[in-house]
Amino acid sequence: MKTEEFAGLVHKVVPSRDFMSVDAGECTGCADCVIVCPVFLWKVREGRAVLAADYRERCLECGACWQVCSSGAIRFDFPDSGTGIVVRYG
Amino acid sequence: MEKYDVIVVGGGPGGSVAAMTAAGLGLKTIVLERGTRPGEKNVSGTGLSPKCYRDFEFMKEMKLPHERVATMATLHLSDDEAVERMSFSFTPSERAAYPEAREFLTVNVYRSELDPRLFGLAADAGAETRTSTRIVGVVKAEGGRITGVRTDTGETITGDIIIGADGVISTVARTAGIRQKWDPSEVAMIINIDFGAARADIDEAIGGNALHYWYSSVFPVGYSFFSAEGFHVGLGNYVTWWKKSPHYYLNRMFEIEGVQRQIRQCKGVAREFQNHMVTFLTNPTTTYGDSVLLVGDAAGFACPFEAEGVYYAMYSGMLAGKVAAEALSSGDVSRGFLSRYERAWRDSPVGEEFVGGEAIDGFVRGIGFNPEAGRWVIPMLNDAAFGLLNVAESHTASARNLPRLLLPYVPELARELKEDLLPLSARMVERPRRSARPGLVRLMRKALPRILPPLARFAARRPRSPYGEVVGPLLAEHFLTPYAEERINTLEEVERG
Ligand SMILES: Cc1cc2nc3c(=O)[nH]c(=O)nc-3n(C[C@H](O)[C@H](O)[C@H](O)COP(=O)(O)OP(=O)(O)OC[C@H]3O[C@@H](n4cnc5c(N)ncnc54)[C@H](O)[C@@H]3O)c2cc1C
Ligand code: SF4
Ligand code: SF4
Repeated sequence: MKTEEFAGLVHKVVPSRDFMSVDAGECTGCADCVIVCPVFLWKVREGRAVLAADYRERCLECGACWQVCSSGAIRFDFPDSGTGIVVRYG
Repeated sequence: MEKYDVIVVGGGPGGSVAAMTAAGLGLKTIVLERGTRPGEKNVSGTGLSPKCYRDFEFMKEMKLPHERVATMATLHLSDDEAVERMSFSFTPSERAAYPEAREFLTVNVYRSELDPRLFGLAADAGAETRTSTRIVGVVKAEGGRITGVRTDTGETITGDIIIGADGVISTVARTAGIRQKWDPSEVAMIINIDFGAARADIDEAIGGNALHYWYSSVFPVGYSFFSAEGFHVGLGNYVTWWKKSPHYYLNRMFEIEGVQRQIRQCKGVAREFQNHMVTFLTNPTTTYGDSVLLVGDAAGFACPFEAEGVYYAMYSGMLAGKVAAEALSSGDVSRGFLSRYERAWRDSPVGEEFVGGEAIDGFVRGIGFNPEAGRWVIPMLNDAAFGLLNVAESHTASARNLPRLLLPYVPELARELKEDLLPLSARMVERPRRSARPGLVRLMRKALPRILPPLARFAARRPRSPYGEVVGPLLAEHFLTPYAEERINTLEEVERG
């Protein structure tokens, strides 16, 4: 059993609009976001952070990537009212 | 347009209690929650402390469908190989300060049950409640005065006082200009896996021993907390602490046979993966502004020791509701007037939690959240227990062996005592605001110079014994010099004289 296998156990009303993005101009490629995101939504490619295309389906809205990014490259909002993560057993 | 006295943003425990209090005092109150149902965005380790039941009448009647009363807690200590080396448990003291504290340690609940209940109580008290309403920021009039909040559909809700109860990523705090995001060193993230299980299986395997802490030298302190029909297994640390994916550490925790056994015996089936941030502040300083009061995690009130935050959110919510009523009746919602909120929370159990702030922080960073420390703390505790209780030799021989077992740990222990534990206990026992110099420190300063020099002299006279080699120089380095400078400067002087 690997705990990564549980990372998909998330209940969601998938938001129809984007609520996160990264400003490639600000990003230093430090990979802090890559390390903390517990559902593996960040990668660094050619020295810049890239957010997974399907992040709206998998993101936990925890804000850890946004919080840890020291260069302020990540824009994070909560998804629109009534959409996003539905924690059943929090 | 309808205008509210108080707009509460966030329908967690802090927001609902704030709204309940404000509405109960006759204020026209609305509480806004972004989820379709309160609780669906929130994650806790699940433990409600006895304080919640001591201080809030409505909690005494609250029975949640899946609550489990924890009457025992167990700390498990594991080594580098994720092998459990030692564990011990405790139960409530018969001499605890109040009845609930004598009965249980925590009541373990789900936020999907607690939060809607509290939200409902706010409605019963007369507050208007709205779900599926996300606030994108406060609204300012010309001149900068805050006049309300705006939703993500563009609707403006007007009110005199905004209570920001919107959790650790507080939109209210940021858009009101009270602070930007927290410093990363002030925030932890905690990952959790929730398991479902049959009530009878948990009753059989766990019963009331429903709070398990797992400390080791390979992952930050973790826990398994049990509610009636499920349990959380998780761990956390400061957001900037992780050197590898959090899963690396969680996997190391899951390697422990004791963790696996719990899952097996309860026949646990993983139901949900969760991650949430929580603040770890030494001293909250951004808790109000013009027309704005922040409560709970939005203010940084979670306890910096164990991340307990539901009670502090509820308590600060109650205080904010009261201060809002005072401000409105005196017609002054300025920062100046609202500073009495800070006085109120500092003078309450909320403020009390932060009296030892920096020292707690030192301890948490030094030992609690520091697996490196586990490399000596865990074998030390184990060797102490083994040394005292083993039957491998006669008890006389064991007693003689004890120093040999424990001496290697003395340097680290002395450092930890000096740097974290003694200041921590001194800060917690005393009320620094009331006495110029904390009494425990004063007592130590008086007593230690009397106790330590004879000890050091004794040690110095036995240079070839383990005491002379290890304890003597340590006493001199860590205690003699700072506390008895005028009498004895160094161990050499002791030896010469
Ligand atoms: C993993 C974990 C384990 C924990 N374990 C425990 C424990 O065992 N016991 C304990 O007492 N504490 C625990 N805590 C701490 C506790 O969860 C928090 O301190 C507590 O939830 C704070 O309550 P709150 O009302 O201030 O904020 P929250 O509970 O975070 O509530 C904020 C609410 O505001 C809503 N919201 C946020 N932004 C907006 C917006 N822009 N518009 C509208 N609504 C918004 C959210 O949806 C949410 O419902 C734990 C924390 C974590 C992360
Ligand atoms: S943490 Fe920020 S700066 Fe670092 S890689 Fe991620 S987005 Fe870029
Ligand atoms: S908010 Fe959390 S889950 Fe979403 S991308 Fe950032 S770290 Fe990952």
